[in-house]
Amino acid sequence: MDDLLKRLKQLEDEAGADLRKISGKDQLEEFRIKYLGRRGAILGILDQLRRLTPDQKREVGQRANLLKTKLEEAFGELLQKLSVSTAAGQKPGDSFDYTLPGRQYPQAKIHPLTSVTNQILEIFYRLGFELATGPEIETDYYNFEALNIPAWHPARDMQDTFYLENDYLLRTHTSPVQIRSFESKKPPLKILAPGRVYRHEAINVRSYSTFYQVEGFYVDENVTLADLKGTLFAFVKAFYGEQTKARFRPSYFPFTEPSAEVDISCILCQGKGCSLCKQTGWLEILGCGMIHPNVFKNVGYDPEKYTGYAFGLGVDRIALQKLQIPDIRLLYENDIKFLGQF
Amino acid sequence: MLVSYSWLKEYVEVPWNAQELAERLTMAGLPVDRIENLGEKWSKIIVAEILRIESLPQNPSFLLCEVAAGREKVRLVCGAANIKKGDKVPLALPGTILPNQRKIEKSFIHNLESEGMLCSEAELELGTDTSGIMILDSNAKVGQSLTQALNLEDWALELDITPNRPDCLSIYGVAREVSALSGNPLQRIHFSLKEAKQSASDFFQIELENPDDCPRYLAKIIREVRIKPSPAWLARKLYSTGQRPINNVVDITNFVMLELGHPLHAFDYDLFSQKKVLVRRALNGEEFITLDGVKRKLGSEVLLITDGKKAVALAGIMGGQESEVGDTAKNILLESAYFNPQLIRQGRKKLGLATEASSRFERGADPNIVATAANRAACLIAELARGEILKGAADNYPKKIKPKAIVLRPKRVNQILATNLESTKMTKILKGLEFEVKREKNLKVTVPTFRADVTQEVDLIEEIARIYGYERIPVATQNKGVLEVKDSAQEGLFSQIREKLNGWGFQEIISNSLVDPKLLELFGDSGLVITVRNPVTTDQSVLRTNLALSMLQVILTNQYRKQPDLKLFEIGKVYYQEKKKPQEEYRLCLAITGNRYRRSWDAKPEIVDFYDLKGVVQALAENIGIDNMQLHQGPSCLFSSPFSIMIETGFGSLGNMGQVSGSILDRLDIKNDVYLAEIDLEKLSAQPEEERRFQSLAKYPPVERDIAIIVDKPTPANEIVEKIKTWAGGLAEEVGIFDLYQGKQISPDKKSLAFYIRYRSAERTLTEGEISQVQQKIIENLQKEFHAQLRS
Repeated sequence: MDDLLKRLKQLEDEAGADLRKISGKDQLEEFRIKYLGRRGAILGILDQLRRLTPDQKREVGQRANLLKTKLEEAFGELLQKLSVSTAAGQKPGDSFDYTLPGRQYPQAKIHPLTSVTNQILEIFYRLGFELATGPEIETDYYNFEALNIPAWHPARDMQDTFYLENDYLLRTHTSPVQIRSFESKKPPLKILAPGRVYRHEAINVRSYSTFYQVEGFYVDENVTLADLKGTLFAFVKAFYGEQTKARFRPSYFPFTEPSAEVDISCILCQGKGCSLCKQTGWLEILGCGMIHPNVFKNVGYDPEKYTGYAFGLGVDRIALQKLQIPDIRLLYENDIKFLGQF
Repeated sequence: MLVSYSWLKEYVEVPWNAQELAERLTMAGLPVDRIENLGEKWSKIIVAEILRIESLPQNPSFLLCEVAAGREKVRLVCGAANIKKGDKVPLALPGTILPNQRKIEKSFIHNLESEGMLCSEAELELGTDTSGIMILDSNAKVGQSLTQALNLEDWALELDITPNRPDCLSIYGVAREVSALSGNPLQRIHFSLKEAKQSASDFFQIELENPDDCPRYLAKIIREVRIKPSPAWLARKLYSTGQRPINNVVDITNFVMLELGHPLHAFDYDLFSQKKVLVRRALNGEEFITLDGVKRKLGSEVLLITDGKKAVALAGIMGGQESEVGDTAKNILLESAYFNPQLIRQGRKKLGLATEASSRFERGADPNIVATAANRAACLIAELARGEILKGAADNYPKKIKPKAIVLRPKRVNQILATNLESTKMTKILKGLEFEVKREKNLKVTVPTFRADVTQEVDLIEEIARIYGYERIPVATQNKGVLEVKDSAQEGLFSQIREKLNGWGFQEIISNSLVDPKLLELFGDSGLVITVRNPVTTDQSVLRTNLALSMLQVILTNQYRKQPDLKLFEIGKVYYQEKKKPQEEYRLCLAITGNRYRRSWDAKPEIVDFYDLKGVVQALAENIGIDNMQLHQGPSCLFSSPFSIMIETGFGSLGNMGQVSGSILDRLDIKNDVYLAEIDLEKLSAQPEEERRFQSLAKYPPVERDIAIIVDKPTPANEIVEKIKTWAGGLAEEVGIFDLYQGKQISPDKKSLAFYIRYRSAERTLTEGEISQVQQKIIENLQKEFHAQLRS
């Protein structure tokens, strides 16, 4: 019996050494045959158990089975390892070429307009604005009348309109969301309203029939022009970077008074003058102002008690400038090579 | 609006150069789009002196000249007769471009080379004289540019005037702004009227059909005028603001319009059929030939100037061809009127005819500058066309429009602007803009009638801010607002979807909501379609009722560009009407077409199929918390049978998916199969977010067993899976299909399905016996319910 136990110990050592040397499936098969096969070493020992007493049988048998399990496990593990390392269509002897491209993972992106919108929204969320939405199919009241743009107002020319049946129209700006929010809430409110708008314009390099705006407005007691300026300058720094200069200049919108526009120093030439900024050194990015008292009167807010500001950014224009896209139509054509760039 | 820098300086001292002026105006709300260097037009024209001159023997009407042009001498042939030796003349050398864009080249006249051209006043746009070469002052320095010699340095500022500021559609109006900005006084325009004894109002009468349409109509008569070209100074002024001279009387009306902003019109009074002006609405269908020779069909929104019998002008828009002031005109009726801005706008829109006059009248001219403008023009006509002005004017102004008074609270100004301005400063600013200010408890401000845009206190506040300088308004350093943070559930859902789909290789697209009705018809919901009444093009004339059409169009665009392998999605709105009310809802559209993978060394080319699409829909459903999604087949215009699947959940229909029908693909010219899903997001957004809680992990080991069966082909595999789960009585943790075979080895109406069942109990390790028992029960049930044959 002792010699059998000794033989088992020997086999264990031998097998361990053999295992370490195995580098391919062929060698592993040789190993299996040598130790675990029908004529293998372990079975050879178990065959000799006949000669022993029952107690001895139990002891040697147990030891032999333990070794068998151990070797089987080792064999299984190694088999798996070797299988993996040759799985890339490789058979033993095939070359390993780390310069081959890795296995594909799909590539895709969100649309540049979504990504620019998200960047804009993120900044205003941090400033405490809350999101609201409104319908794209609007009435004259919400799109014009309530915003202090009566019929035959010259400002209607600034916003040529698509008209639908039954006196509906496609909103020309996101400002109707102001009216809808004012109707359903009481001040203070600080709201952000992104969305799609439409203009009845011939489609060309610079204009498309539909585009995106982000509207923001804040109504409370004692809101001032300085609050508007501060908010928008903070936006410019966050969105375009610290080095970008902003300019706040008077403008005209029927629904704000005083009205303003914000220009930024040209992102291409840093204000020196180039074709993007038409040699002016400035890029116009948004219109804004203090909400007109007539708008407040229309929704039943007391313009003596409350003041507020509003601004509207053109997402498409900002995206075109920032990404230096030469033609707005590219945004709506959806060529995947184009979309993949951003 | 083009503003000449030098012309502007006639009314106010400008302390800035053209560039600085442009910046100041821009920062005051009169944005300058562009500055044109007008002096450059003559910078290449040289002062030359005629050294020698002789007639050509071949043709005595031509002169051969030798001129000195700085260092060089130039020989040229000239056809004008007004020059002599010693004259200083403007010379354009070959390569020079004249102000009228004509390029000068070397030429041969009677075989003689001419190395340049001597120019007339008209050719240089320095006047209207075309009769001969322009003779310069004898002191002009030879070789100098004409710009220097004649002091023609000037700049034209192109102002983009906002619609609320018609007062700035004139040089004088801009000068007023410069005066307010610089503090320099605004010069008055001086002219002295010399009138005949006979009174204009005796001569004829003015009748207004409705004073609301035309609150004021004034006319002066100037007799015995001589129509001829304008003098050089007048022509130059017109050229400097982008206009061309026509004749002295017409040019004067244009000049006064540019100077004062008030459009005037001169009629040949002898062409009136009676001594009367009647202002009335046009009749529907009435026709009129405007001075551009176009016959126009009018409507009742067009206001007409008539002589009581026939129309002579479209009020505030354009004169008529018939009563135009031509070369033979003798007696002039000079109109200066104020028309209802809204009506002019309506008429202009109706006719599609925008003019310099209409753009001023529709924004609002000044009813009280009417007489001044008429007198200013009459004086110039008398001076330049030697006419005689009849005394006074026929002036029909039944209800005088008076300046408005507004109370301005200085405290309110500072409250809104966050400034600390003294009320004296406010007064100074407003006075600079020609507002009258009276100090009472607050300030009582009287708004001049040329500022119809200023109607309430806040408008005055803007005026103060504008002139004080927006750049001096403080920048708040604190973020005020509402202490409330609310997330939009919808935006959250959309971002989640975008993130997941991006990760799975789906590219986002954004397409137009306006689509082609002919193509939309293919999808069969035309009854719901919302039509645009005034489309720009017919292929964008209805709102989409689905996202599939635009998705397919994007697929087509990419296919044209040899990019056929696509995985795309769009989150966008669809629009339809329900009981005449428009509805809009957000949807998600997913589409896949072409190869599953890019070509690669380790992947065989495989075309995508329905199961690729279904996999994404399922994964998405799991990720956004829809666990009771059910599918069934159903008909659809979009998909071809049988690959047309309706998606339902506990809260109703969620959308559909399938293989896009061949007829639609053919109609759109798409070559590859497309698998597409369209899912309603409104219902999803409305669902409360599923709450997730920890569930304890399994402690006992699983045991996996397989069953392979042969069943009838139509048997739905998922039904079998569900049954197996039921029969396993809670012991099956997972049941899956790992093989599907249909082919030669089995009967053609059968298929073979292989399932794996993963058994596990949360309470104990399952015994071999237990599992075998359940497995046996499942096999028996399969045989009973599905007539399944066990495959070994």
